[in-house]
Amino acid sequence: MSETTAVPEEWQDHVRECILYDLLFKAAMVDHQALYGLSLSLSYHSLLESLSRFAERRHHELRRALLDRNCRILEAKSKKGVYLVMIRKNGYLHELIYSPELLRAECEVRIQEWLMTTRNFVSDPFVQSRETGDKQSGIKP
Amino acid sequence: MSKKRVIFLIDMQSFYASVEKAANPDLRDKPIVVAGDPKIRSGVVLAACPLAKAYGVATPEPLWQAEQKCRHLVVVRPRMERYLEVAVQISMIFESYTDLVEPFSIDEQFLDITGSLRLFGNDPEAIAATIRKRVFLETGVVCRVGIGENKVLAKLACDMAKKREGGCFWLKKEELDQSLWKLPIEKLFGVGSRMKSHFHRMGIYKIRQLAETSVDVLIKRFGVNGEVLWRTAHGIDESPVSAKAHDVQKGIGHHMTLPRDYHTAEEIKIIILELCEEVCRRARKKELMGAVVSLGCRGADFDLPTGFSRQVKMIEPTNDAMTLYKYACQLFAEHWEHSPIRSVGIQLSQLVSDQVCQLNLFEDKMKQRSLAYTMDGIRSKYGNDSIVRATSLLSAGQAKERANKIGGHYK
Repeated sequence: MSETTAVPEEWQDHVRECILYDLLFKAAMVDHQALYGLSLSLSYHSLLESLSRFAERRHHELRRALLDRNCRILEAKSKKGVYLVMIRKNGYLHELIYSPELLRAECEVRIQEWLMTTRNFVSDPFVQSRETGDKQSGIKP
Repeated sequence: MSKKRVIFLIDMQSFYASVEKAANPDLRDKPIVVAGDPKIRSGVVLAACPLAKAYGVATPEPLWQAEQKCRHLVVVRPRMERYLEVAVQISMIFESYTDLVEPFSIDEQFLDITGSLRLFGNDPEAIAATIRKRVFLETGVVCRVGIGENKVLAKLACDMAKKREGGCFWLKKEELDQSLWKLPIEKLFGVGSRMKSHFHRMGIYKIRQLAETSVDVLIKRFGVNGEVLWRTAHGIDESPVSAKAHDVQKGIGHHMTLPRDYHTAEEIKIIILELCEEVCRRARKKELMGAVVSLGCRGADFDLPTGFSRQVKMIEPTNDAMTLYKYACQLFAEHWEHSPIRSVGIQLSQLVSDQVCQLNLFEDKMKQRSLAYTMDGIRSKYGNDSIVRATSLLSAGQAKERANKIGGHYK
């Protein structure tokens, strides 16, 4: 998992990664909770749990690295259709204004990347079928 | 000595298509266009991503033509409300650099950063790079920055920035002869295809030739527009970047391109009435009335223009749809030459406040006014198509269809 520990060079990219993993682990947790009451949900518990754990760990890594850069996320909130993030960097306050639609799409990209890189999911028949389907086109288990 | 200003014109690359790509990662490596209605394969291409443009897809061309150029073209239905939201979000990002932000269109905005230059490091190109980065990271939209000492130079610089890898270009007035003047005349801001033919007839093919032509000759030939173009070629423009540029409204207008040619006066008048309703509703919303009504009708063949555009001054200012309709019908009856009509536009100008109006012994104006405001209230609460005129339910009517659209495109 060496590629996941890398920290973006530019502070703006770094802040966005941190925000994305923050949102991702929280969203995965909420989805995990929502699945409890549903039938046929057992197969997804482990997947969502490991996704949430991975995203939380990554978020903490990124946040720590941000602090080393003298940059701290002070506040993040949804307001008037945008996601506002207040940060302090080298004593200066910056307000970043993200599009929630973009953040959601970027979270999806990170989930896809995680599914491709991690090996934790191979026991999951759904993901397994996707992987074999990609490799051996036309042969479906 | 007056200090040189630093003006940015920031233009979004394939704005609608970029917003769609940002929202949907599956589309990012595909050629996409935002166009009409993909289900019925109608309409024109409103925006094409760079991948689609590489296949020769251009805006605005009919969707069927674009699909012929690129077999794997993905057609996305427009979401105008979303694009407006992103445009506002981008304005908010710009406002963190300067309070002087003037929207030029939905995807172009002027910024005057003269006053905040020192705060952000005194290097306009570095500031432009930071803004580009922020816009991309926060909205997913790529933008290009043209830098100049006035709005005209910034606009011309922005056109040049589109061809630069860094997406930024600084056009300096003292370097115009090495950059702008070398370009063909049609590259000058304000010169369209017709103006280009006029200039060609005068033997002017390059911007340099226009710049070297006497301004008096141009004024004599083109009037005030000639002087404006001469000043543009010399990079002269004193107009300020003003956040309140659009606060003062001179007119309220609506224009509709019809789905087919309309041949009869009955059909066209239905559209005129619908447009009068829309114009008056907007005027009432802003508590304004207008004294002059303009009507424009145009045929389908743009190369062989048919139709007319005329205006008339009414006896007194109004924002009542039926009064406006009466005058518009009068214009229509006088100037329509029975040619097929594909687009109709109505404009109300010479605006005044509607807080004071002349009462009339023979009409109950207060009742009309109250009825109009009640209908506006119903529409704003339950939707634009919650109450329409009976004529709009006929096959020629477009009100129901347009209720789900902004500027003629899907919300």
